[in-house]
Amino acid sequence: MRSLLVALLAVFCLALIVAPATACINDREVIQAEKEFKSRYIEQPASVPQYQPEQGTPSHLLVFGGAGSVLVLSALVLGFVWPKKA
Amino acid sequence: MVRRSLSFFVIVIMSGLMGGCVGCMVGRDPYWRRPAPAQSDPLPHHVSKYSDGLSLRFAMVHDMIHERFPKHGQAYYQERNRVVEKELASFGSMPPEDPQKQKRYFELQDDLGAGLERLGKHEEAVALMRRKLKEQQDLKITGKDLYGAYANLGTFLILWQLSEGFADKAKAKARLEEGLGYVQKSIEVNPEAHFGREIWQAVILEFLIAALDKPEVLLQFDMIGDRLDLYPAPSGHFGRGNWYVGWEVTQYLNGKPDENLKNRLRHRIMKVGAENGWTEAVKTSHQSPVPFDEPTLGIIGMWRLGSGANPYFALAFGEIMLRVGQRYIAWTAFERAAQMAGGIWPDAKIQEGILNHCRNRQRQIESQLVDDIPAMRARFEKELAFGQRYQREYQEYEAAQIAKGVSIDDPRFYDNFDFEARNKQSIATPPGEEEFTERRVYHLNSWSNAPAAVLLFAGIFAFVASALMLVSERYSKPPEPSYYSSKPNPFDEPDPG
Repeated sequence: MRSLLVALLAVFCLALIVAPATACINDREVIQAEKEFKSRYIEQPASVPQYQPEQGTPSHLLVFGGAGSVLVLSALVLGFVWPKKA
Repeated sequence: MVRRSLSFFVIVIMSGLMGGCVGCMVGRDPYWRRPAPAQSDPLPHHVSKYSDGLSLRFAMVHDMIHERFPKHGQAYYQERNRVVEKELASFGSMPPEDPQKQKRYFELQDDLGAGLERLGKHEEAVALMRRKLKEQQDLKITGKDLYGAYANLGTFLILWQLSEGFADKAKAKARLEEGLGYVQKSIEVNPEAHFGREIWQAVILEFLIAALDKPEVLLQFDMIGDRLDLYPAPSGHFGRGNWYVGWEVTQYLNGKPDENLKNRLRHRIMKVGAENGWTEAVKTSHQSPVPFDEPTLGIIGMWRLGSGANPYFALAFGEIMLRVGQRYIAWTAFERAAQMAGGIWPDAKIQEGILNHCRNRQRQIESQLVDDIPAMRARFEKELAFGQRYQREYQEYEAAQIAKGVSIDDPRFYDNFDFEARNKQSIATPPGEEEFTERRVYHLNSWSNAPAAVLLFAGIFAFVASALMLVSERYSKPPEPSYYSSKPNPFDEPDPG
């Protein structure tokens, strides 16, 4: 009687154990199912805004730089051309 | 051209330099003031272990827990068996010699075996797989081509033994060991198959065989060796907060394959399983912790393409997700495991122990979250019901289509299944921000204004200095002669005239 109960218990236990083992059934469905699974998740990445740095130099910076250069040159040239007091 | 003293130009140049310094300070935007836009980089688990392999997304785990995936019904397999048997009969009793036809012949055997197994016809499924394996070995087929026979035969043997019971223990043990042996052979010939789930199928079998001798191991570890008695502190090793790792992941995914970089990035993935005491408690092939995506993908494969939900899988999901900081997913996994705890072992003490463990884990998680807990449970129930309803309607649709005579091989078989359209959402949850780490980008643009400002201020200072000196020169009085210059010099010689 005891061995019968043990056997029944073992049957019940392994009935639970083995359920996960149906994982490795390989048939025509597997490859297609994996492709479809991949397409549902991997090929649709989350849209996350990416930073795009500015391209090129803004025009106002060119104006400032040009004006500064002109002023430096003018300061030096004035020293040569401004008449001295007699 | 006017000659001026050197000091004039030195002063002008020095003024220009001073102006340049002022311009540098004004023109440069300090990084702490300039808003630095965020760049998002994928987490390291996006780097798949195998080239062309599947990489994990947390949304996959969420969807398994909530049954948000399609699942065939009995009607589908009955119809498929009918079609496959008809085609197999056309080949005769021996495998054809033509390689293409031979390949088709063996594939049909796998289809029929799987169909018989899913309908509970274990003995027929095993006999078919033994025949397939023998035919392949007679044709001197080796290696990866034997994967299907090994994997299917191993699985069918185990399931068959379950259905027969253990009256004859020696025979039962022999068949189980034979089954596990074929599963291990399938891993040897094709370790990358199907998300690597064969590896984890062997691990769970080894765990449960150990539990037959020592049921208390079910209260000590989950199926991959995570300890149930410790509350894990999530580590930052999976890349969150580590901006350089994120940058490297982006470089890897957008660049050429680089095995060294791949290995370096996978080394950064949080490792789980095989914790202290595991290898002593269980005779197992899983000897050391592994990157968390590996067992997770294995369980996903077993859950989705195998027999579906069971408490071992749900518990493992909960422990893994807890360790990698995905606390919401962990909570739902423990909820699902708690609901299935009655099926974990035919011992009430074990069932109660697992149930209490799941509830304790949930309480620990809830203490860290600010969410409304009753709302979390209601949301879980609603989503699980949604997934189960999807599967039910999917199977009903299949049965109706087959009854109408539509071929299951028709590519438009599922075209009229409009569950997602009717419910206005995809059954698969889209991946979200949990997959990314954020990096602040401090670009060199913070210096880009400086050169222009330097020139401008240098010019202004130099010009002003020059102008001031010239103006002061024009309007300055001539120097008055000194007292000494107006008096005759007594030491001068007198004028001879």
